[in-house]
Amino acid sequence: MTAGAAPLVLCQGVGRNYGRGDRQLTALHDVSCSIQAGDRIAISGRSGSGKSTLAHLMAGLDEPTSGVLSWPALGRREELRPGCIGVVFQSPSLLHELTVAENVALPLEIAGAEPSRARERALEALAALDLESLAEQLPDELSGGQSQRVAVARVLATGPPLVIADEPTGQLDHTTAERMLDVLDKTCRALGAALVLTTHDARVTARYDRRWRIADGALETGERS
Amino acid sequence: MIALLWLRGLVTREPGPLAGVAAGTAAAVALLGSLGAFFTASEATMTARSIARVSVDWQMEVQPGASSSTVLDTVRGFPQTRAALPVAFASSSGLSASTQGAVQTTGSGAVVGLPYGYTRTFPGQLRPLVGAPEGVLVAQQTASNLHVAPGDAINVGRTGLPAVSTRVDGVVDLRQADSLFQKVGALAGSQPTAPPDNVVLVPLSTWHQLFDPVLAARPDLVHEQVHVRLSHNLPTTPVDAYDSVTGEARNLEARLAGAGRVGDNLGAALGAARGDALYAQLLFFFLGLPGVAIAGLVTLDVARTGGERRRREQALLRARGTALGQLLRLGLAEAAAAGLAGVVAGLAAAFVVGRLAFGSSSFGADPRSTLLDLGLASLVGLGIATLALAVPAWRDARSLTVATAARRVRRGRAAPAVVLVIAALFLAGAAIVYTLVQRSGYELVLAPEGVPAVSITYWALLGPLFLWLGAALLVWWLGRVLLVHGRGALGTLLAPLAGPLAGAVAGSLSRQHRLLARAVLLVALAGSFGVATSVFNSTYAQQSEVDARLTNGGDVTITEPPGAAVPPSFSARLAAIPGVAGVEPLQHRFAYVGSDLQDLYGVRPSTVVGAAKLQDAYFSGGGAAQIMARLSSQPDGILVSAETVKDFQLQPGDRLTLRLRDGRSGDLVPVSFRYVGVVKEFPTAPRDSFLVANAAYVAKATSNDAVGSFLVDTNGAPPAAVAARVRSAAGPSATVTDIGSTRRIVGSSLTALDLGGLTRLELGFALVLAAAGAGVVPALALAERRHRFTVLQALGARSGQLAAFIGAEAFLITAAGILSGALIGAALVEVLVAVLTGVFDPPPAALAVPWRQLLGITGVLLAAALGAAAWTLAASKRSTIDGLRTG
Repeated sequence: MTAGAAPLVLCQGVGRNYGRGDRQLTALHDVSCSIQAGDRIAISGRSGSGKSTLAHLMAGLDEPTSGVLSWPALGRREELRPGCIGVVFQSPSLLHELTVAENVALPLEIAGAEPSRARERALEALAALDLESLAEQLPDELSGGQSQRVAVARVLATGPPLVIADEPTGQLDHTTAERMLDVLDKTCRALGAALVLTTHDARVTARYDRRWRIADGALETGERS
Repeated sequence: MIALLWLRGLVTREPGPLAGVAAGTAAAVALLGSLGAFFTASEATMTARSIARVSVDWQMEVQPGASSSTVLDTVRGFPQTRAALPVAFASSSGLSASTQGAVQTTGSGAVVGLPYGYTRTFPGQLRPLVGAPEGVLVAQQTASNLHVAPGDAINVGRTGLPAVSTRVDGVVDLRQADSLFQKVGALAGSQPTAPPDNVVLVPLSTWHQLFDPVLAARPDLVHEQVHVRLSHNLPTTPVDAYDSVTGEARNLEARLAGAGRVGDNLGAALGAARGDALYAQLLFFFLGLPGVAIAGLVTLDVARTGGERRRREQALLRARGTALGQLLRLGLAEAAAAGLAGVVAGLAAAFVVGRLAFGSSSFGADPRSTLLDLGLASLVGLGIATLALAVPAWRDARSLTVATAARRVRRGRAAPAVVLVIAALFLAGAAIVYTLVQRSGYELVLAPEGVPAVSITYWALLGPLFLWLGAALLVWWLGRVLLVHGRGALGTLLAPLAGPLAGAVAGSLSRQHRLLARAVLLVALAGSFGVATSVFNSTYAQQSEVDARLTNGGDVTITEPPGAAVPPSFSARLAAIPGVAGVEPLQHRFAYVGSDLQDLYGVRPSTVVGAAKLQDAYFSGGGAAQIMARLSSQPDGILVSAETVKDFQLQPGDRLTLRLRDGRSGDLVPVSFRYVGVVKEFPTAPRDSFLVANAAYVAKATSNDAVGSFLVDTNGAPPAAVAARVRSAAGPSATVTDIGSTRRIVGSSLTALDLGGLTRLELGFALVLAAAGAGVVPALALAERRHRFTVLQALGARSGQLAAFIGAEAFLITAAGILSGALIGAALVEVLVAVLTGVFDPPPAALAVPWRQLLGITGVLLAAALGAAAWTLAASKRSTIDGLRTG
């Protein structure tokens, strides 16, 4: 954490409701927090507690219905992805018709990189995670763990200052999940990126120095020893 | 119970594919049902028109030695008989008349004895032109040959007896002379080639006075008939009606035990319509079934968009121990639900479409045939739904595991080369058939006169079928090969649209080669259906118009009665009538070519091409303008039929001397012409041999410039209204006909096909299928893969980049589909017109291309594709978070 630097993410009384009228559902209410460069934060909570909603809001994938959400050190919401924030989802979220290398190069191409340069960076990212042998495979030919590691490589390729991982081990067995988290940690350290990770698994939470809890849409940021 | 739960879940959660299958089934059922009902109704119209065209249903020939009164009594006692009258025929050794100080004589002729009331009982047989409708009547041409009019005396020659004199009461047109003078019982082909040139009709009592003495001496020169009008309560199809009438005829002949033979005019007319009915069925086959096949393919593709969901759920059900039979029952339940919904909607649509396109009276011939048509359509609909839902469910249930169910994209592998070989074989087969049907002597449908069986040249039907299959396989194969191997080129092509993402987009398209090749094929087939049907129908309409114009001559035609001496200057008077834009006088004479009497038309070559809208196809050895220029440059030039060229061994430039009647002396005088070309068709001319010459030369050579008919160009003014105005100027003796009335009565009974309604119907379905192929199916497929657009957005793709992914797919499908569809459609219609050439009368020299309709089809395809892309883009933007949660 860098004292006095602009936060990567700043939430001020953020809330998120779904639906209208009698059927309105409050997923998040009055959340205030900030993410600083280099932070490693685990957000835990039961299913439906609002973890993913908060992760998506921080990643700029969704908009709050109340409060103020900003990215002082990163820029406007429209400029966050793919360069400033990398997102790892619960499911691998690879495009089935592109090879592993093409999937990893895709965010770079979206950002405007030359295709040849994007491919070069993608292969480097895959090599860094020992995935180069999978470069020409199609996603349907990978295991769940391999797919998630490729998704992490995709983040690594763009080198963002903030990585948000929304239950990245939710569909993996314990051993594979451990390997996956190792990869994620390694990637973030290599990038010098802050990491925000949501999980309902206490063993995963235990890996991180800052642990936030969320229950019924309310966030508790008090750190536990 | 589980099936109901399953269906409820599908309807509430994933109604798209199920509703899509129901809609596709409905389209197929509606097309089949409405087309089937339409063609059944058309067949009924053909039957009705054939019946209406016949004046005397049966001519019962009294056999030598038999009693005519016994035959008459037996016929009158026959259950189907509604009216029966005796008619007597005698051969005359010749006719003569003395008019204007000159004696006119003819060769041998026929004298027919008609009982009182004959013209009322058989109203279509004679058309009174001038004078009394009954009494002593002379045929139009005879009156012309003898120069007689009502009130004049003629002498009727009798073999072995003195000629007798009688006074003419009227002049008539013998409208069905061919059948009236037929040789009853003669084999087809041995009938007289033409009816007698000279005919006198006398009251039956007079005939007996004149010819009973001849009967005693020369019974071979006289014969008697009983003319019969039958009950017309017949089956609705020409084939069944023909069988019924000919069966009744044989029954009556059996009852007469050799005393009489039936000249079956009604059977002959129905027999001729059998061929047309078969053509109608073939049109149904060629124009309707491809549409049904495309609707089926669209439905299969729509069902395929729900395939991933089904495979995942089936795999899970299997993992939980669900038996194969149970999975199959679930598939069948889906098929039954979608199929029944589709059938009900399709039948309702068929009913509405039938009403809108053809009017209530034309929707189905009778309740039985309508039920049969709709029942068949329903069965086909249920079959399509089963193929779309139950069969894949059964197939997947047998082979799938959870792991394979999750697979969405397989590695790119081009279509096997054997597909190309099969496509090439089909196309080669189509080319061979096309070549064979171009040969002379080819006829698709043969309905020989007097022969119960109707034959179809079945191998010719393989031409369009092979072309369709070969082209479809080729497009599919090429699509896959180009997508797999042409990825680099595709990336270059897409660079302006996708920028740096072009490579990724091209890769994405390339690996979806199966899906995209299928989508391109679907659009191509739907497009080709639209192109082929609209060009075919336009060509049919064009030829019907040509046929009507050939028969009528102009928009309005004034035909002068025989013997009238209306000069060409009368044109100026007609031209002054409001609505008349131009008048073209046409001489009409009879000329002897050797002993053969032919119609001769005297024309003004410089103006007749435009005025009579002469087609190049009317002539051999050059276009209309070219041939008429040749005639113009040779004042004594003459155009003759190919048959005359053959019969008289003519070479271009040969002199041909005809005998024409001189205007002043009334005698036949030799007139020398020079053969300059061949004419096949000419407005107002008969279908057999005739001659065309310069009017000025004919007028000079015969001292007679009398005009036979005036062809009036109305230049867009309503012909019927102009005809009404012209009628009062032309006087009561002239016959005035307009093109609209002629269109309704001209040609074969195939004109019973309401091509206007058919065009609307087929184009409507073509547009629906094209829109489904280019829009709905890709939209459903894109929706199925909306996850990838969600991922793209999550990765930061801007709207334009997202649009590049979606738009590239839409562009590829639509552009390749339209191009392939246009090519297939053009080739298909060429082969269809060649195979079904008998449908056209006269055969077309060139296809009529309805550019507006084709542009409309293209517009619909583009709009559907654009709409699908826009909808997918909007939907994918809305669903980001949900898409990520569901993965």
